[in-house]
Amino acid sequence: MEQVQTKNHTENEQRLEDIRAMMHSGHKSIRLELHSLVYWGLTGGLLIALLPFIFEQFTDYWVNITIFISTTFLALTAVAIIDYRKTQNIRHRQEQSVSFVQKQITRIWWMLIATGLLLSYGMVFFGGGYMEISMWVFIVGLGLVIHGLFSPQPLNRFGIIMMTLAVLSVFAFPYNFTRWLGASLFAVGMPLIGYLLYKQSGFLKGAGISQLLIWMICVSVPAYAAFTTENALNTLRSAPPVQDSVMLAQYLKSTDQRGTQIVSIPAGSSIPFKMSIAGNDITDVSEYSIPIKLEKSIDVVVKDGKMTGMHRVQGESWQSLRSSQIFKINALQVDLNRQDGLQAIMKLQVLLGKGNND
Amino acid sequence: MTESQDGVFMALDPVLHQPVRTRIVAFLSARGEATFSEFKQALQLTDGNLEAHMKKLTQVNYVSVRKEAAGKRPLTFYALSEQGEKAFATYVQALNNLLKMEM
Repeated sequence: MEQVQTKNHTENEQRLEDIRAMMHSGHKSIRLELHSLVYWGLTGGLLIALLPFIFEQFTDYWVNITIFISTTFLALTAVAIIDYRKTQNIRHRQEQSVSFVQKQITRIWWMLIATGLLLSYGMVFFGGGYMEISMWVFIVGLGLVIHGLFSPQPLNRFGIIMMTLAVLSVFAFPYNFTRWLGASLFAVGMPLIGYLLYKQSGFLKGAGISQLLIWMICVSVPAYAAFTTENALNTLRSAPPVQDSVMLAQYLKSTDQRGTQIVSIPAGSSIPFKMSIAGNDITDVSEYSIPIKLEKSIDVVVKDGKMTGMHRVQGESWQSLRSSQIFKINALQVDLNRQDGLQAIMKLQVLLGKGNND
Repeated sequence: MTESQDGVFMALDPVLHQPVRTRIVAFLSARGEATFSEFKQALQLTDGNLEAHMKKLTQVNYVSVRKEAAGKRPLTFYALSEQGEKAFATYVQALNNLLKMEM
């Protein structure tokens, strides 16, 4: 009797050991094909090596940007499709399947390439500093999607929402709102996902649109509340005095600049844009200025002879300079031609007020 | 028969409690999908033997079959069905419980 029991015990142990071994063997099914390394490597190398030569053919900044975006997008998408098909064909020829883990790893690879592309495009349009928070939200969202690819928990849906919000924030939201949205997504959104997964698992069953919508509301309402509160506090702190504004010419003539005043600069005014340039091998000959014309009138708040940063573009509300200004350098190049000789060209774009989607 | 964690007795699934079929299902559980050739290579079985076990597993709906055109002849892919996944999880739990009881 005891002998039979011992035999059963050994058999069952052996059975579990077999299961572990077979699962291990099933997991070890990832294989990066030779052609994948060749295709992706060659494409990346050629893009980095050749794009500068293509850019040299065109002097216009926007033409170069269009070439950059279309070339990288088309080339990498084409490689992804060709690589995927070739891998499938090879596996079929060898009578092999593409394992679950291999499929998910391929998806992760595509998402990483897409992340790289989005960051490159964003850098071109907005610069790194402006995208910092959006980039972090995107990367954490990507992390959730990657977890979701291997998990029965509906993490990938939350990840996709975070990635979408990150992209949207760069194009459509003011920076200060993005900051609060990022804070809320991390501090409210992620613990809330945890709570829903482990304490209210019934709520997330299926994780349909309504559940995701409720989660988004829970995340965006605090962000929006913090954003509007901060704006209101800033406005209150630098609130313009309740008094009539003085015209710029009148203000400049006045000898007493104490206290707080609103200075009105009428539309059509010419403002000198002073520039000073220095570098390791260059220096400007003299300080010079470019006259720029105001398309709309602007009221600015001046306290004891210094601007506070609060301003109001014609037809808009008061806002702080920090929350609204965007500077974009749309072109920076050196040109030598018979007509103008050697010249450096820079095109700077300044967006104030609603031009900044505020 | 074995006792589950909540005290309910569970029988070891007779379809899965067979060494080759246990290994087939464990392999599929980790891999997601596999072809006939891959099974043959992983389990070192003859065509006839493997075919018999696959037939048994598909008959009880533990394994689903998908055919895809690949060159001259279609390629057959096997995957664990939802029912198969549940049965396998229950079987592993039952084996573990049995081992604990025997110790």
